Amino acid sequence: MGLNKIIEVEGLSASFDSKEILSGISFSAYDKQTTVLLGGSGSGKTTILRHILGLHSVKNGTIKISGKDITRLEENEQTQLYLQMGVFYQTGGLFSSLTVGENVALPLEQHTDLPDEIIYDIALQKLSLVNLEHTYQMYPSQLSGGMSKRVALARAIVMDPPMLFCDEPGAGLDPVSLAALDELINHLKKQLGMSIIIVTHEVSSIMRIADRIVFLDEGKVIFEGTVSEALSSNKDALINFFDKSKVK
Amino acid sequence: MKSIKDPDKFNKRDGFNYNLEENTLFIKDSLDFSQSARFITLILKDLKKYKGPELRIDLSYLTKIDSAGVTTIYYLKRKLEEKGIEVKIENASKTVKEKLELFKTPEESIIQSVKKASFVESIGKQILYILKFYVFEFLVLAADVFYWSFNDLFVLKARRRGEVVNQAVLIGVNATLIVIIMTFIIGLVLALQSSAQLRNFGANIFIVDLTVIAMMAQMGPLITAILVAGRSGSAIAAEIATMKVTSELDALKTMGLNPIRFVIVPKMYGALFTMPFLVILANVAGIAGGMVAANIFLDITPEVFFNRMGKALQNKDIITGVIKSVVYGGIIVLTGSFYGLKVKEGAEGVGKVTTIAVVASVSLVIIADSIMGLIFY
Repeated sequence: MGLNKIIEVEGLSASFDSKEILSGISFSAYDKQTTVLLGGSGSGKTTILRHILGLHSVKNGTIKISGKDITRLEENEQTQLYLQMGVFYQTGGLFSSLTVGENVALPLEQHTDLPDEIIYDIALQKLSLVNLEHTYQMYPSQLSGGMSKRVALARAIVMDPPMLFCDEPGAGLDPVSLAALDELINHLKKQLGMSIIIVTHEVSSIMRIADRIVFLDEGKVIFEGTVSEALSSNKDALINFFDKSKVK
Repeated sequence: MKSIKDPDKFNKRDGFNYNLEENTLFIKDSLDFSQSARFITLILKDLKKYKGPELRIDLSYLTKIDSAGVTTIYYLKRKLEEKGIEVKIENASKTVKEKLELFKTPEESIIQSVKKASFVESIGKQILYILKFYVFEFLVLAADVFYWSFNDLFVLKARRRGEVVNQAVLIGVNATLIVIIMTFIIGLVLALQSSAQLRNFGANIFIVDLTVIAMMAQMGPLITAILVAGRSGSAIAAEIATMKVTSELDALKTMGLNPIRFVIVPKMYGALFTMPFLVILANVAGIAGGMVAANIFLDITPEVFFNRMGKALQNKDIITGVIKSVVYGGIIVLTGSFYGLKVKEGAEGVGKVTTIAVVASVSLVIIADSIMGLIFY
C-alpha cells in the first residue's frame, strides 16, 4: 500500500446489555486518506467511532492511533491525543449559549496561550474556510441546518488536527447541501492534509469523498478496500446495499 | 536571499528558534500552536524599541507552519505596521507560502463587519433589541389578543366547543386547592407575626383590620397571581411552545384558523373568568387563617372578628382586589403565550421559554401590583 497506517483496530468486540454489537472488528485507516465506515442502521458504525474517540472503553481488542495503543493511555496522554483529533458530530454539537465565533474559538481559548486578537483571527479565518465568516456574532439558533454543520466543521478543524472524525455529517441535509458539505470536506482534506474517518450510510456522499470503505454488517467487517473494489465486490450484503441505493 | 551571519545564534535564545538581526527577523524550523503564544510574547518584547523604517521577516529557515503560526506572523505584521514600520515577508518555501495563502487573515472589511461592538454600542443595540423584539412584539400580541377577545365574545364558532370551560378548569379550578391552602397559611402567619406587636400596644382588635385589608387589597390577589403564574403560566408557555415546534400552529394557519383566536383567546377567557373567583377564595382563606391566629393568640372570638371586619372592610378594598385579579390573569396568559410563541430551538427551547415565562410573568405581576397600589392608594 505504501501508506502509513494512522488508525489500527484489532479484534474489537463490544456488547451492551449482553447484546453483542461489535464482533472481532479489525481494519485500518491510512494517513491523508478518507476512510468511510459504511453500513446499515444498527451495524455498529457509530459504536466503533465512539470506541476510537475514547467515549466507550475498549473491553476486548486494541485500537492504535498513530501507533499508540489508546486503551493504555493516561488521562493527560488522552487529552494530548484529543488535540490531534477534530470531531464533527451528527447534530453539530454547537453550544447554544455561545456565539458562532465563541464556539469556534473555544478550543483555542482552552488549549493555547495565544493573545485574544490572534484567537479571534484564527476563528474568523477558519470560519472563512467554510464561507461563514459573516456568522461570527450570530447564535447557533440563528443558523440553518447546513450552516450549523459547516460551523461545527470549522470548530473541528480550528486546531489544525491531523485527523478529522465525522459522525453522519450528512444527516438531515438535502442533496444539494450534502454535496456542498462533501465538497468542503474534500477541499479541507487537500488543503490541510488531514486523515478523515467518516461514518455514514449516504451512498452519494461515499462516491464523492471516500478513498477507502470499511463495510459493516451486524457488527462485523465484511469488506475493506477502495470504492471501485467495493462496487465490483460479489459479497451479497454489499451488492444488496449498493443495489438498493441505485448506484449500480 | 539574505543569510544569517551566525546560524548558531538561533540556539542562543532560550532554545527558541528565531533571531533578530539588524532589520531582519529569521524564524527557524517550525511555528505552530505549541510555539506561537511564546513566540509572539518574546518578539513583541524584543521589538518594543525597534525604530527602523522596515522589518523583513525571513522565512527561509522555516520548514513547518500551521494556522496559528500564520496568524501570528500576520498579527505581528499588523502590530508593526500600526507603529509605522513597513513589514516584508520573504523567502518562504513553497509549502510555507501555500500555508501563508491558505490561512491568510480575512480582509479588514470583514474583520470590521464582525468585530465586537464597543460597550456603549452594545448596550444601545441591546436596548433597541429589547424594545423591538420584546416590548413592541408584546404590545402587538396584547392588542391582537384583546381585539379578538372582544370580537369573539359571542362568536362561538371562533373556538372549539367547550374550550373555554376546559381552560377555566385548567387555569382556575385546578389551582383552587393550592391557592386556598397557601393563602390560609399566609393569613395565619401574618396575624401571628403582628399579634405580638399589637398586644404590646393593647391594640389587639386591630389585628382584624390588618388581616382583612392586607388580604383583600394586596396579599390575596398577589399570592394567587404568583401561584397561578407558576402553575398555569408555565403550562401555557410550554403548551404553545410545543405547538410551535411541532408545527401545530402552522397547521392551524394553513387550515384558515387564526392561532390567536383558536389557542390564546380561550385561555384568556378562562383566566379572566376564574381569577376573580380564585382571589375571592384566597381572601376568604387568608382571613380565615387570620381569624384562627387572632382567636388563639389574642383571644378574639369569631363573633368579635366578624363584627370588626364589617367595620374595617370597605367596598374599595373588595373592588381593588377583583380589578387586580383580572389584570394579573391577563398578564399571566399574555406573558405565557408571548414566550411560547417566541420559542426557537426545538425541544430544548421549550424548557427555556417556560422558565423565562414564569420569571417574566411574576415580575410583571409585581410591577403591575406596584402601579395599581399607587393608583388605588
